[in-house]
Amino acid sequence: MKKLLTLAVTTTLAMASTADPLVIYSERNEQLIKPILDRYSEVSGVQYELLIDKSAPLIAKLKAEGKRTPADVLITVDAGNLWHAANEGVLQSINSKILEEKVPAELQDPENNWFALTVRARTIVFHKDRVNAADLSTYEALADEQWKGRLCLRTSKKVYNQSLVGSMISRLGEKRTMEVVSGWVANLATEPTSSDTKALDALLAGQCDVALVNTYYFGRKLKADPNLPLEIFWPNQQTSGVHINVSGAGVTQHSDQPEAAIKFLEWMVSDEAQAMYASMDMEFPVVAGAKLDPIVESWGSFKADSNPIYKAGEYQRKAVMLMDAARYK
Amino acid sequence: MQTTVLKRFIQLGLAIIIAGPLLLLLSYWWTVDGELWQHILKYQFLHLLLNSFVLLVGVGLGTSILGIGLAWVTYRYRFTGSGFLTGAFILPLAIPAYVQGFIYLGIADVSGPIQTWLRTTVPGIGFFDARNVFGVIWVMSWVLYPYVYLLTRQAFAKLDKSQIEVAKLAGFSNTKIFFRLIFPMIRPGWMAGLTLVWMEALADFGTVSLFGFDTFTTAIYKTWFDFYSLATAAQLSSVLMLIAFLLLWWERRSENRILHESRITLWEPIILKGKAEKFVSTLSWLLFLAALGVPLTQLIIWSSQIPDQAWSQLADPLANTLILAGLSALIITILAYLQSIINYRNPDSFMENIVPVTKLGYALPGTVVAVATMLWFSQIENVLVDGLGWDILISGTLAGLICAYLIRFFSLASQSLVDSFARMQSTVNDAAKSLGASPWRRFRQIIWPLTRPGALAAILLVSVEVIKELPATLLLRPFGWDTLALKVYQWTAEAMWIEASAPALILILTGLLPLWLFRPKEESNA
Repeated sequence: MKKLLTLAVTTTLAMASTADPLVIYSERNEQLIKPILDRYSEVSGVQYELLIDKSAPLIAKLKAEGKRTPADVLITVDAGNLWHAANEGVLQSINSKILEEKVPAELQDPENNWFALTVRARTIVFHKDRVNAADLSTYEALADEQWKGRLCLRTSKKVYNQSLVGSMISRLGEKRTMEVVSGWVANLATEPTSSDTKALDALLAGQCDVALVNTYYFGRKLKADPNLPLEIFWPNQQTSGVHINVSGAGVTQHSDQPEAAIKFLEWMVSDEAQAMYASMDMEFPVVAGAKLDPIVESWGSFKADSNPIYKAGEYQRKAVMLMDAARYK
Repeated sequence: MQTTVLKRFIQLGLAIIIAGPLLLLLSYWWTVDGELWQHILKYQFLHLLLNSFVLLVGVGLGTSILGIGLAWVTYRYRFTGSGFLTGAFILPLAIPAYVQGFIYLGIADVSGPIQTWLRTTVPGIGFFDARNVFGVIWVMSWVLYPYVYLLTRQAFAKLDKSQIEVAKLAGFSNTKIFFRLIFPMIRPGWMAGLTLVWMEALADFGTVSLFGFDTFTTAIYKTWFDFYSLATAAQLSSVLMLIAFLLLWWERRSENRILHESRITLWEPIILKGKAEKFVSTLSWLLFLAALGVPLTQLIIWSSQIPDQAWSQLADPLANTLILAGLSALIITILAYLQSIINYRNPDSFMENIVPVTKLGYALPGTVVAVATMLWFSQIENVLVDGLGWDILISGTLAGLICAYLIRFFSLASQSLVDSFARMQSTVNDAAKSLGASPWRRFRQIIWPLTRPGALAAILLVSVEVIKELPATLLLRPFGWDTLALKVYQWTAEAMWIEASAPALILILTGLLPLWLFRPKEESNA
């Protein structure tokens, strides 16, 4: 009851004054971000407040709050979302030698509005008993006749698929991409699933033989059961490379402590933070040389698509429209 | 004279607070993204309208059969456990539809235990996709039927025996009596419940996405999240708002035609015996187990795999959820009651026409309402902070969050009061007035006793909805005010159903609390 009263008094009408703790708006869910933030508090003494939501509402919130926003940092997943945040003007261009040097050029905004913090690959996972790895080659080849009724895909409403198709449009053009996506749809074993996890479940149950998923969803499954009869395959090694995506962050346009926010981002690309942050959800660190999770390490190295990641956002709209036209639900 | 002004002020004030954010959505029509609209019209629009229509018909049918059927059985018959079941049949309302959805898919889909077992025992049986339109309708009907049950059950309880006796004496058959006499009397309650069901089904995002079933609401999200066009999403939302407005208008029209009764003779229930008793009670208990027992059992099985430490982290969210639910249910019910009583005492067509506007929030996808509310607050803050120089914020405060709940759930409270007020004959009040009873006395002795069930239903429904609410809480909560629904979301967003089962279980148990406290009770055997 006492808690109720004090909170009611203090939060009913809060004063719009500057807040000391670092305020972070994050699309990344609490269990995947809180441990690293707690660690930062430990080493720096900086306290933080966290608000979690999807990217679009967070960007709308930052816009609505304008210069009254309490937020200092926006953390989100997918290059398209980062591009969109920069495009809506809710991030500020920041000047940091450390970020500039440590984060590869193709994984940061050319205007320095945001920097990638982790990398994930969207790749092929197949069932060992029913697929010969030699039959696999590229994303495009999954549209071939031999995969009819054997492919599982997640819904086209997920941004990861939109970025993948967007990168294909930029690389192959709309006509060829349309052929590939239509081929995928024709090869589907079942309606697109609501999540990558469900696609892997269908693969395990035997409903399909190959699936396109982000590496960490597969990593999580392997962690729970190391003897899964599933294996990872890196496509497009002779051509464009594996499609990668990022999680990243930027400093909000109206942060009242941008220096503190930049300091936090700089710490996030330190070796300690990178190893911890990337392995927490079995992703790849953005800084070369940082330690990998053993399971991730066991997948070996691969050639990644070196096209600048920010282009994904520019092609997103086209990608969604194309997938609609191809009847990819 | 002065009180009329005050009443109008309250009415209009409420309408502005609640409808403001929704009208704000209309302002997005200034700029139209022609290319995007063309795309939507070409590939989605008709398909979405059809899907939404199928969903409304299916869920309407499912909830009506379950809701009216169970209300009739518990009203008309007495059997083993009928007293308990009368209250217990509303309990499935505590289960968020998307939780019911992931439980259903967890059990019934290709990698669930049923199909896995079937495939090992019957080789070559193949795969049956549980993600289809019947699955969506099935899942939603089982969690939404309590609205129909609760509100028709109230209506049944007020049936007048004498009218039925007369009909019987006149030689009407039982079927004829039910459809010609009883049904028109329970119609306002049924329609009020059905309208709630429909609005919730229209606004649902979580459940339909699990099933890959595209509706108007999924299109709104897609337009906003994937095409990055908040403006077009707002425009689509206003189309949805129009559909809801028509539903509500249609409901109000029929509501006006109900019979008023002041004095009723209760209809004695039939005490079942023998085979009939066995049949009715077995069926009722099975339905109750299907609605609540199965999902709870599955959640308990899943959550038994969760480490103890994960449970202890749920204490604060539980406390926050209880505080928010209690506080907002009380405030929202009081305001809805105020509106109803003003309308009742001063029937005034202008004011009456405002009523549907205040109910629209419930039919829109939660996130859209949340964002509209946020934009609305920022407009007000612009005036307060920049215009007047007051250093005050609404968004990110407890007051702001409760205001968002008010906008979204006002119609729930107001719908629950419809039946109670519609049945009160204004002549009773007028007679008391002419006998010189003070307004307070008339309220205490006439109006309150007659409308109490409606008010309790309002508190119950709003508190349960606030317990389950996610989008507004996510976007507008003050820092540190994590709720149980937020904890469920944090795991379901990553498709980690097992981890989500612990907060989901606590959330449902928390929702059972107000539901059981304010459950409908069996009429005493006269």
